[in-house]
Amino acid sequence: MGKEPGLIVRFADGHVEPAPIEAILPPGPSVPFIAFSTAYDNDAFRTNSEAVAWLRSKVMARFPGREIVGLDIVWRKATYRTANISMTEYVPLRTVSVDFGNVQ
Amino acid sequence: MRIIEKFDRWVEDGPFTAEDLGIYRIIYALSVLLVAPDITWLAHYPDFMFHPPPGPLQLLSGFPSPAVLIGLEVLRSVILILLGLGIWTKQVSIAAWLILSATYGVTFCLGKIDHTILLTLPPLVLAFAGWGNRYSVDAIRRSSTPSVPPQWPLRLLALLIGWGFFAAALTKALTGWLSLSSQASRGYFILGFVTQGRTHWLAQWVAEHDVLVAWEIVDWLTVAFELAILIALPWWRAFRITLAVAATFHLVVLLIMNIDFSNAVVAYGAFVSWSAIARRIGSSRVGRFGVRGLEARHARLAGAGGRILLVAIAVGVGAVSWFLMVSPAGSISTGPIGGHLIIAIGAVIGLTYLVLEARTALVLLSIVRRPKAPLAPPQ
Repeated sequence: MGKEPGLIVRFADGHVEPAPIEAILPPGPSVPFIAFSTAYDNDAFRTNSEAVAWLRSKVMARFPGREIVGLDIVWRKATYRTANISMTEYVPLRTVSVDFGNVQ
Repeated sequence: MRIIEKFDRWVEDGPFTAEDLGIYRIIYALSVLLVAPDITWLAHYPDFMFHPPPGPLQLLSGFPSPAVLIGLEVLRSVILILLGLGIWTKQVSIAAWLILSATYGVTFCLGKIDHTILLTLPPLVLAFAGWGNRYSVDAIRRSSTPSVPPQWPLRLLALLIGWGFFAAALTKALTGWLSLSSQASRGYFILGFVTQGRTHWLAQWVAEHDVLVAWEIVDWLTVAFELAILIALPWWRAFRITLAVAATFHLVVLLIMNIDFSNAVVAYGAFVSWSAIARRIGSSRVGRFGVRGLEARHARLAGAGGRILLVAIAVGVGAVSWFLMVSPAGSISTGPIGGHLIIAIGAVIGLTYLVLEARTALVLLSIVRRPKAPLAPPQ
């Protein structure tokens, strides 16, 4: 059992697209997920301009040339019954929405 | 004899020779060069993610710059090479402990603390055991016969290793690891398999043969063997047997769960009779061939030629370990190669030791059970 973040990128044309967290974060041996959870698992980071700007820069790098307006971090509880990932059960916990519009 | 005197005698009692420690110092330095992690990736992380654990790293306000991190890696390699060569061994050993603590420590500042402390301990403790008194530049400079090394540092290192495992076992026992209604090791296996890509070696096969009873047995065996290391501490033979079991256990964990415990295996190496292994290799056909080759070139190796060769080997080892660490092929991660190799070699040594101990036990058993010959009638 564990808590997993899912990232949904929002574009200016209304289109949304999921982004794997591994593609957003810098490479590193097994720690990025923990680092992300520690930094973004509460609403407080939304008032931290450095945290929001960093997230925005990583999302922009993942989708170069596209106009991105925000990101939804969807936290869900995952229960891993077996080693077969299709058997994993997810229960949504909460969604944290970040708007990139005002970030310099 | 007073208890304190008995304790002192026990602390100073041990089978470790200056040769054992000298060979281990070289093996330790080589092994750590192979398993020490690349830390430059930390520079890509922002300072708001910097959460240092309690200790001196809290003096930092954020992740060091790439230049500093590369500098630390270079310094670490240089110190380990000096340690392997046995130059200013005591000071360099303490420096090795410091640099390893610092380079592992910064990786913990993202919130995940790994079990790498066992790797950092040997140089700090064995600096006081005279592990630079044989097979070292220091020994050549002194050119005196080394005395029997003090054994208390080995006892201390054994206690630290035993205590580390005891704490791990206690935590498991107190947090439901031994509950029959759940299988904790299976939970870790599935979590690693599904979320961390730990699907190599035997992992796929184990995933397809999911037997709960087997996982429950693994849970209990894990706690039992972790407790056994501290319990075996008073007797070197028993302690070595538990380490041999541990080394074998780490290979099984690597093959099934893809978790790399090479850090611990390197620390266990302090308790191996390396001089006995060296003698056995030396008396083998390959060993005799090597010794003859070295003797034939003795004149050239004794002078400047030997020093040039030594420097070339040191630079070569440093370059190869650096090459593996930074994974220059990009998508192919070469970093774990050294760790996996160390675990495999550790398991081979551990299994061999267990087989030899079992054979000795069987011989003793057969002697005890042999019927006594009837006494000859008096003449």
